[in-house]
Amino acid sequence: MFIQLTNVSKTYPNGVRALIDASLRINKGEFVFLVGASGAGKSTIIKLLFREERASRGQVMINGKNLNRLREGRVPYLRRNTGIIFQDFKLLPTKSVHDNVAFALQVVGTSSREIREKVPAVLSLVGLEKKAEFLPTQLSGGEQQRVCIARAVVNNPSLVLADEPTGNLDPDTSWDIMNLLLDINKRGTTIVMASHARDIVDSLRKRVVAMERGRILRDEEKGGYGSES
Amino acid sequence: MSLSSLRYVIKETALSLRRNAWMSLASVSTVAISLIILGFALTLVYNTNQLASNIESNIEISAFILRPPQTTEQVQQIQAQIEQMQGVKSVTLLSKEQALAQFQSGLNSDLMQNLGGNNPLPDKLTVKATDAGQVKDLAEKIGKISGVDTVRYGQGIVDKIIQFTHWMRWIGLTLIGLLAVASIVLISITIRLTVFARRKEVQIMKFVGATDWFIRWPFLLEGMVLGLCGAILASTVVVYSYTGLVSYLHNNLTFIPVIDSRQFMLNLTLLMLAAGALIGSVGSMVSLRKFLKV
Repeated sequence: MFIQLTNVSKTYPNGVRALIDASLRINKGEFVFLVGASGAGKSTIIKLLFREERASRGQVMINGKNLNRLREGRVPYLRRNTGIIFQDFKLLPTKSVHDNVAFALQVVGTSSREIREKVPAVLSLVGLEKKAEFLPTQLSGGEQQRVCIARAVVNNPSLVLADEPTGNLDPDTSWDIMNLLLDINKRGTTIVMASHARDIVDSLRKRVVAMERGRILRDEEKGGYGSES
Repeated sequence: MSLSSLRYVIKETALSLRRNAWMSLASVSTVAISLIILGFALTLVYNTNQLASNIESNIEISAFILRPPQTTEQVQQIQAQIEQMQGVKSVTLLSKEQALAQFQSGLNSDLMQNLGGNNPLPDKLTVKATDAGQVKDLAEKIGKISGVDTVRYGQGIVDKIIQFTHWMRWIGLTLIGLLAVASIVLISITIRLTVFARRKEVQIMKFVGATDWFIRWPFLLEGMVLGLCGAILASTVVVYSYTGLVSYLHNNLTFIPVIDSRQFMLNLTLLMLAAGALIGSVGSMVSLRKFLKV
């Protein structure tokens, strides 16, 4: 077992019930889509998985560790084993592509020697080795998302969380990003991706967890976006 | 912390100080002003303390022995009795004959003859106390000894000096306290601006698993640097103007005793630097606790 949510509910301080009695089990190496309308609870699950939020009720376990009981001081170490990809990329505009990726290593205390080895390697994985010295503003949206992915996987995490990674991209670019994520998944990394992209979800036929108003409606192997599939 | 982390922290601190140049300048000046006042208040308090203890240690009790004249043995007995009292440093006797001789030496005519062979002066015991605070009690006790006529000491002066230093301390402390709070507030605002300018970086750092302390260090260091800069400025001003004042007093108003020692200046400087660093780190911690929920 890798990830296990057991009867998890999440109520935000403003009273919004984002997640109601959700149970979910994700095995090592899986690729899982979380689908549903805005406010269905997809992002909340992602946030629970990297301990941005704590469950109000129920248990969130990763690798046998109960995240509700995880001490505050241990949270950074959980995150070092989790890559996070955002819809809005969250790149530092004043740092070059190389430095944006290197930053993620620097702040966890990686040695300069290791940074010099790892950054070029991951940039060539995402196909940006020639743009290492560019600033994010000089890149297209798809390229910026590649930088974000490079930053997420440079530490070789066993889990990658992606919150609408193609939300800001055109269809062709979205497919490039999806292929990159599938490649990363093939190397054994578990990927949990929240998405609105119906055509991508439908054509990939991966596991789909469909959500609505905080509840898990459907959980299908090789599923599609809509309930009729 | 690894070497590359250290380099990162130092680089970020320097960058952020430059980015908030004006705000940094404002905090440095406030710290400097508070510490200049702290420095001057301290030198003043120390100097009045020293002055007070100088005066206090010179305050004597004069005990006049009762007339009609006691025998020499009786006077010696009284002297011995006083010497045995607690808090008495020394007792010296000025016999009426000695007193008269002293008095005489200032005059031309033979005083004794004019007085008809009668010495009107009493024997006088001069008592020094070990501690100025005890002078009053001691004087009262001595006054109760039979054979002692009147007792005199610098009534009032001692009390006034003690009161003055007391007030000096309180006014100084209050002023320093208020200014320290103002400095802390300004530094925390500066750090808050830095945190705000770097909130995106902070967020990313959190997401990729930087520890809380790793995130805090550059901000904390920035606050400490601001505090230290203010302290360096302040101690320069205080040390230079104080040594200047001391040499002026030495040349012109020699009767005012001022503390003139390297050790004192060194201690003062170290104290101010420590205070600056403390103000700086407290200021940043205030901001970090409030604005850096990591």
